[in-house]
Amino acid sequence: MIDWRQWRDGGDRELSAYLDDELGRGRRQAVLERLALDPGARAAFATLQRTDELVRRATAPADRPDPEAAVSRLQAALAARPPAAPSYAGHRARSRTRVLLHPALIASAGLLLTAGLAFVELRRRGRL
Amino acid sequence: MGDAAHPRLRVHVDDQHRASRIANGDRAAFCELVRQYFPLAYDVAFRLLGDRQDAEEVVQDAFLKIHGAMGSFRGEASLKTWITRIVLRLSLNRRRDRARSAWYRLGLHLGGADDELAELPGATISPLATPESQLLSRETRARILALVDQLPEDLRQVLLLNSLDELSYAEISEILAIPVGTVASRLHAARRRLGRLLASHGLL
Repeated sequence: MIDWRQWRDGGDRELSAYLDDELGRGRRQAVLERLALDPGARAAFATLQRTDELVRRATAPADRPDPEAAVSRLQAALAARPPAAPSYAGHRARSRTRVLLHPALIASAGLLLTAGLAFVELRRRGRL
Repeated sequence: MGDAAHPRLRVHVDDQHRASRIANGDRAAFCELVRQYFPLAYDVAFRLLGDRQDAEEVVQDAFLKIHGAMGSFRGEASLKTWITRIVLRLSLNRRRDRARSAWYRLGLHLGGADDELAELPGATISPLATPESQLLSRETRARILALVDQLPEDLRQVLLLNSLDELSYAEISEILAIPVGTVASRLHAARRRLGRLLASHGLL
């Protein structure tokens, strides 16, 4: 015997799930019994069914492009792509080289070297 | 909501092997993947965007992104739901960008080539025509789509994904990252709201 009170909460939602064939066997049987006995449930189910049918028809594409054409376009796009980015390790090594060869760093090193040589020369002449 | 685990949602080991082959440069495996999932990807994009050219561009872009991201596929979802999620996200981005464009704000996109063809009495039906799309007049279709667009975005997405026969509640839940019960509630709410709208416009 069906407890009709339960339908007030989740029953209508189960009509939708029944429409989509998403109910387990036990629940499906309960929905079938309800539909057989309850004209209101039958009307609600018919409305859900018609709504679903209209959505499917209205939103469906008129036709589908040929997948082979898509495959060809994708192959061409992949072939035109630049080579894969260098790995992280290679990138890191190159970054380190770039930092070491930075002009500002080279100029600073040159200045330090000049200052160091001048200091040594002045000390040698005894002026410091 | 079924009694047993959905057979389409078992461990995705095969998908993982397939993804690693593609990530390692197997072009034939990638082409096979495109052939298999192109119809689903195109249907998702078309149902969300309602425009053939937009849908084709989004799907092309999606497969290029999918190719580049194959190395990050871990098999936690199936390739099917992973691909659909990427197509969905790109379609929603395209829809958002489109809504901002003057072309769409002025309604100039209405009455495209597909619609004109559909109006011709003796128009040849393409061999790739889908059976669902037939038997609705252009005007009825446009009115229904306008009402679907009035639904809140979360309800609209579930409704449109469910309109594809290929996707179960469990798969929609995986794509949208929401519980299966939420899929069922949103779907029912969407149908009820849309049913009321359709009835108030004499379409039901």
